[in-house]
Amino acid sequence: MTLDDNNPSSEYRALVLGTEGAAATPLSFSAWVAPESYLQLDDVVHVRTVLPDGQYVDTYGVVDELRATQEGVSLTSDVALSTEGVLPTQSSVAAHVSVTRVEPEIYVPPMPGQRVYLATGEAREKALFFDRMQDEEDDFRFPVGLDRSGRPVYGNLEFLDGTRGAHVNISGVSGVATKTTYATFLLYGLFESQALGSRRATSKALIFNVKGEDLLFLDRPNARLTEEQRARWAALDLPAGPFGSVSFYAPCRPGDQPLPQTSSRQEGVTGFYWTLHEFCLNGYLRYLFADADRDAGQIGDLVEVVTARLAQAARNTPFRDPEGDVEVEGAWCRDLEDLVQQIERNLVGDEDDDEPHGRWMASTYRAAAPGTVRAFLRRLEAGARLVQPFVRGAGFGKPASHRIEFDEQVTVVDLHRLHDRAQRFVVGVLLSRVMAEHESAAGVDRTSPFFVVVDELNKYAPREGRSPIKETLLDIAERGRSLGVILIGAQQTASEVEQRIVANASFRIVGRLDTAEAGRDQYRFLTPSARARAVLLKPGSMIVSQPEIPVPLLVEFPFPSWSTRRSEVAPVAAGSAKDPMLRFDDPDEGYDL
Amino acid sequence: MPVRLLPWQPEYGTAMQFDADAPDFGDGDDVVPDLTVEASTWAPITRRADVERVYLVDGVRRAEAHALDDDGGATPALGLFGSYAIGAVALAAGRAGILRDRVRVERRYLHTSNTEVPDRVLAFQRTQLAFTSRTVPTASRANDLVAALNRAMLDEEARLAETLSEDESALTLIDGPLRSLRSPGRSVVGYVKRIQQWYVPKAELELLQTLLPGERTPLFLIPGSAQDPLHLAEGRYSWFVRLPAPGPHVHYLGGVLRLECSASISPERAAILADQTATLLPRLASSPVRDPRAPQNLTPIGALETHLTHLLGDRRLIARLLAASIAREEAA
Repeated sequence: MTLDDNNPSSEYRALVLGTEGAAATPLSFSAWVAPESYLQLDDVVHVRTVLPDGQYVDTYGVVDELRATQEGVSLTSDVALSTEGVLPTQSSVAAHVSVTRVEPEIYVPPMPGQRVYLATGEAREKALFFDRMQDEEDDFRFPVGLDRSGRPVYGNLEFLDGTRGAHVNISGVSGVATKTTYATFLLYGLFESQALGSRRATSKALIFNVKGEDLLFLDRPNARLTEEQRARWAALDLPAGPFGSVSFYAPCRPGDQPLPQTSSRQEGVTGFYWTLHEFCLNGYLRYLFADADRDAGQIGDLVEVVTARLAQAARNTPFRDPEGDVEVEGAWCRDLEDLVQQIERNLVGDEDDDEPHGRWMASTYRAAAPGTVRAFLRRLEAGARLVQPFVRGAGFGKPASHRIEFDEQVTVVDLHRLHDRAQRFVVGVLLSRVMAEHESAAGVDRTSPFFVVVDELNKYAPREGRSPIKETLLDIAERGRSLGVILIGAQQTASEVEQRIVANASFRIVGRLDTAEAGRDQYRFLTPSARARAVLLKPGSMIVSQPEIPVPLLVEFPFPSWSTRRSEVAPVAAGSAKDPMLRFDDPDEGYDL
Repeated sequence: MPVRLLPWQPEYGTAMQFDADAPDFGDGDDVVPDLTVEASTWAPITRRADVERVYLVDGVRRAEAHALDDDGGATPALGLFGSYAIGAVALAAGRAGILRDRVRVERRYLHTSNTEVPDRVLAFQRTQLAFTSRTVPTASRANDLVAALNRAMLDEEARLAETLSEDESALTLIDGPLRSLRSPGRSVVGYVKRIQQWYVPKAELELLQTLLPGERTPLFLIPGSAQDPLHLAEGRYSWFVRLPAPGPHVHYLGGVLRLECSASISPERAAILADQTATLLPRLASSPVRDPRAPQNLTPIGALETHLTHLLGDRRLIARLLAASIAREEAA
């Protein structure tokens, strides 16, 4: 390795090429890699050009392609002659570099023959814009992973917290929970690093656990964390521990007791439910019709009519202790079944014929067709059956202690045992509540970001069709930035998700992609070589694209320092009465709905 | 004898004696070789002999521009700007490699002027090309200057071969007959791919028809003569080897190489060298696909020539630099 006087901290690795086929341009160039050293993909490099007037121009870039060729061969079979020792040849490696930054901004090509250095220290910070992510007072860097050499790679918080941009979108095939794990890694880095500064304590996150149980042990240290992995956490300057402040919620199960519907974990999980009164007052009914295939026309209209009627009924319901029930058109409803009956009566009426004569129909400006009413009722009944366990009347429990509160930093809502439609209902209700709360909040709360992690975006906000939940997500994507609601969305295939949601994400991240998917337009932000690599990515590696850095970067993230499954939970002193795992009995009693 | 083809592409002439500008300077017809120095019967010899290290020496030359100099005397003097490069390939341990530190690139301004002519240096960015001035008083035609350039290259090749052959465990192969080597080492073999003189009588030449690749003829001695400065005074041992024939359409004399070494070594030693070449050369023979002078222009030599030609620089750039240099001088 040769050290250059101008770059005492950098290692010489290559010389800029200037052949016709590999001409250097201000935005990308190739370099012949010195045989005594090597460059690998993702290496960050630096070239200093001296202009005729003596001024320096520093060009920084990332290696995105490497080509090894044999010089002195002209025919395919020459390689055999060379191997036999008959034909003298020479192997050479050329690295292609995508320029990330030119400082000062004088866009001249690096001249052929100039030395290319491996950028370390300050040069690397500049190449990846880390120097712009901090000033004397503030440090806006938050860790997004480690590079191949184990050095931290940062994202700019200003592009995440709404200052200059917001939202994260993660794509990748499922199966190894990489997307969710990466999303939680990002949250952990945000909450444990200095990036959020004084807002750190007031920033919150809401995570939906929609499959598996990997998010139910965020507050437990990972017993399988090796020393090597601890060192990786240390390299990120993050403590290798669990999330410090987490609350777990699961919907109440059927039955008389407000107990959570969970699997492995019961301890520390609060069963949540909404009262019938809340259900009506806040218009949650519409989230029972959250399928994207909801007929754009008549059923939709009917849903709005009924939702409005129920809200009115709730507002008019006289106070009765305990709270929770609702009086609809003079009849007290004590559970969802009562309510559904009451809705039916008010739509169809008591008369036994095909025409709907209900009180609500009469006052509707446009009477719904009998078929529409029947379809509406059919769906209402089916949906109500699924959500009945966690929409309760008065006297079931103390509503205040079974309400989802965002008191802790991270709130995990476990929905993995719920039916698809019930999951949609809960997600829709909670997202709309988050948006409503941030719209009415003022001052301090608004500047502290509230992160919402939603996996399977393709289910909640599919590319085609309309649904209330998709509208809420779109609202977050488009207005959340100014309200401080930050969506960390994930899906297998970005091509199946509403494009405005994907397009609004400042941070685009891909894990391993299916070959066909990687070729789609949604991944145009990837360079061709990054696209090819996305097909090969291993769990634990992601390609991160952020607005400030013109090249997507491959990062690795450390093995979670919190547990992602029960078997990773470190046992407390054996047999101790305080062993939290003692109550981790599997209540697999078949409450799946 | 039916018609058969000769293997080289026609613009390179043939490997046979009929070429007018063939560089293999023949001996007089009166030279009588001794065909019995190795064997009493004239029959193919097959004896495998491997060699650990082989050096192949070669050079390339290029005339950059012809010139006339009015200051050179009564009539305009002839001039030639020329470049040449010499180098060697080493074959050892299953690898072929160009000996980069042995490569030399030279540039000359050869002329017939009787006055002092300064060197001409072409400067371009960080490159300086120096055409050293040399007078060639014997030249009377432009072609004589080309021949002098060629000779300068051959002398340089010979010197490199001499240096390399100090390592006697290695076999050093040099392109062309052992002409101007002042003291060829004990393991230097010249290989003649453009055969000017067959030396052996027609009856014995018939043997080449049945010779197989890997086989060779017995040694024969070409006596030296003190009057002939072009050839070694002590005489040369010579032999023929056959390279793999490109096909049945090719005449049997088309794939033949004549080799020679100095007669100052023992015939036993010469026989070992001959065996080594008979074992080695069929492997190095080039394919007509990659070399217009296949099979005689050996594969490593072809690669070396390509490399050396590359080192001569871009011909059009040099021509323009020369033109610019002379034009500037004229303007000054």
